[in-house]
Amino acid sequence: MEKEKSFWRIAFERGLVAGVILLLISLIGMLEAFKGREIIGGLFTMSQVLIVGTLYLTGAASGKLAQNNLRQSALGAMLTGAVGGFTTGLLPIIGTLVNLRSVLLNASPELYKILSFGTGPYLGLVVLTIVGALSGLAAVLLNLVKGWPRQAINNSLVAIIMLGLLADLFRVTIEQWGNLSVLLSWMLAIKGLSYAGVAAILAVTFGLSYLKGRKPAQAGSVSIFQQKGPKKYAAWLAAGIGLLLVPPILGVYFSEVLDNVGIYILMGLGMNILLGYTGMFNLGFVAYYALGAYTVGVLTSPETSANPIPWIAAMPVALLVAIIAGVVLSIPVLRMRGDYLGIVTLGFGEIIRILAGSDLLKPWIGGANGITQIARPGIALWLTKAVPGFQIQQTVYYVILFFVIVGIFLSIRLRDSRQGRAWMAIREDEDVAQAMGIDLVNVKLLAVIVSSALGGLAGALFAGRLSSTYPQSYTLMVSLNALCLIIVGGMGSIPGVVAGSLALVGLPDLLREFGEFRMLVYGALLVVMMLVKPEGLLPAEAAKREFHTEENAPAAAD
Amino acid sequence: MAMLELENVHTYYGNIHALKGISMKVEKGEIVTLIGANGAGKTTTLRTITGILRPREGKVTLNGEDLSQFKAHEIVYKGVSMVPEGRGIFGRLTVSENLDMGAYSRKDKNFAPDLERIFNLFPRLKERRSQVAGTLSGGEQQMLAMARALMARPQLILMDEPSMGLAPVLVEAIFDTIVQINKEGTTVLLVEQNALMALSIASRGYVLQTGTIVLHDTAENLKKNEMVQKAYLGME
Repeated sequence: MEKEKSFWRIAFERGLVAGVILLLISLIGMLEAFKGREIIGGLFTMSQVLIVGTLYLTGAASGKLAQNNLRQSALGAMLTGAVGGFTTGLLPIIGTLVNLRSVLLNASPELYKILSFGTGPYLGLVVLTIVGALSGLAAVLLNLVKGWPRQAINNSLVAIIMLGLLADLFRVTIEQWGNLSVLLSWMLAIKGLSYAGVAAILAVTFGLSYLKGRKPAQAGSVSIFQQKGPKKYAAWLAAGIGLLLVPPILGVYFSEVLDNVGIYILMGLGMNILLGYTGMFNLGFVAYYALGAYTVGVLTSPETSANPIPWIAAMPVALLVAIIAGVVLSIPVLRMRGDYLGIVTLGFGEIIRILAGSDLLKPWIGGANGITQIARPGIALWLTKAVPGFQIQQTVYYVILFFVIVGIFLSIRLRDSRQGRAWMAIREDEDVAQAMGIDLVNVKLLAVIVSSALGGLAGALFAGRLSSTYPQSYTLMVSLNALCLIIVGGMGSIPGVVAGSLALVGLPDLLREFGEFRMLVYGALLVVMMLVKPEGLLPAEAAKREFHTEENAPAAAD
Repeated sequence: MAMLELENVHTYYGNIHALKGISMKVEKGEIVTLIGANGAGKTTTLRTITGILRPREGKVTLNGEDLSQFKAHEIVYKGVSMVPEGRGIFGRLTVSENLDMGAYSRKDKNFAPDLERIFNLFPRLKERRSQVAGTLSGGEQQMLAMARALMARPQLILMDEPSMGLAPVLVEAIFDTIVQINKEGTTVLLVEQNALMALSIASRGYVLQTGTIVLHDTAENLKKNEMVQKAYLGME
């Protein structure tokens, strides 16, 4: 009896938590910002997905507490959902009785309409409570489904939400195919996905999951890219062709977003060598990025140089400047560890940004006005002229893609080298690494050189892509983004850098509404990651071991 | 000429005078032990020999060569390996990767005979080759730390409290291995709190008390010494 009581209590409290989360995202304006994003045209908006999703997930969390008792589990989840819905539903009622708007700017009638699903405030309370209870129940019932159907449901939900969110872009993209656009246009409603589109997504995900689920699970499933033989080459070839076809097929906007992602991948690779491999915490990474961009700017813009040189000639100089700055700034701080290193490098990053905007250096680097008319990579300009209809964002993509591949190749080779092993030994234990004969100074300096070169390269590409550079672009946020993306992707993992960049740089660019709430989403995402998947989205081998030791360790008794 | 010689070594941590003029010798082929209580300066002595700490006065020589001109990592290349206190294995790397790190200072890449030798000494490590070192038991980790030190093919191996935190039966196995390693030609300087075990395998011993060597004799004589018996062997 005692145990059961505590279960209901927990379920109740989780409901309150769900309510607080929903009230928070309502009052900061997030729900309202997403009301225009229809996932399924005329049926479901992103705001509603957020409401139902929150109630569903907290309901599922409660339901899991009583897994072996279906009735209790279902009732608990319903209680959580209903309490969450009820708490949230109180807001429109309070809002109509008292004027909240003088304090809470986002407490608008529009918000109340969303929260009550279009009904009035009092009926809305009932509706929300019922929706909450049903969401909880659905969560528990879905949890009963196992195997491939379960996988299919999860995948199709994710696919529908993602495609629905991106429906506007999807439309713009297929419109530029001309007559070919009829191939896919039936999937879209006026806003969001059409019913036919949803049906198609369901058919595809269920079909794929069924085919996959029928095959017996192989022990330690290996991705096709890691398999041996012709299959592997075919897979890489297909991936390569796919990447090359992105700009013509997906169009200008996607290319621009991917350009940004590529620049952050390069920075993430640099940060990964410092923090992921060597364990050196650097919050001033933006300094290398800024130096790379400004070097290219100063050398190639007619505003700052009497004899402007092409981008490709300035780029190596940019790398050199970034490397020199990296080494010079590192020498005094190489002996520091952990947080101390982070704080000192944070200062360096800020110094560079302030210098870039200062009046002192204005005659040479433009001060607050920045530098414009920076040369773009020549090959991109040539491609833009050579291929009709190609925009600069699409051609720069190829330049960035090339350097990203070079960066990834370099990272892999270094990771598997003697140097790479020395980095990891330092990360594990500096003193012991030294006792193995590792020269701490040289090995750390090499890490700094490679990572600052990658940072400088990212900056050079950034300046060359936009053809301008301003001091405001080089805030602490750049360093933090690079840091967050390797945490989310998986510390010390190269695929993780790519996944992290796509998730943290690509997605917010695609979803304009996120822009305002970027930091909030980052924070929440980091907390959730630490709780659910602390090793990252695509973790490195060593991190997998660290976080899942109990699974691969034979009993360690002695 | 002694293999390792410390002459009047003074080492400081900032203003704290940790070693107050230590002199000791280790001859080629010996097992020499340095015993003492917590805080006596045993680990400081080893850190001074390996170059992590610098003596402010006095000098450390290896085969007559002054070690103070070398940095800590360079001393490894001179043939001095360390089994650190608390084992200091790389917990997230596998057993094999740890052994590879041990051979970091080697120019040649022919590790097969070394691995064979090590797996003969420690058959347990062979079974656990691909296991993550952090998941090994305490005894296995100690074995790994010793094996890793051997991978560098040292002429002198420094061991910092190999018995720490191990069950008595394992301590005996570890000490048997130390004797075996010594027989195969490696000189050993063994730092221990477990004086009884250390003196039973060493040829000579030094007793360290608050940064000073208070006694130096053969292991046999030290075992009979009244002061040692009282303070370190728990006899009345």
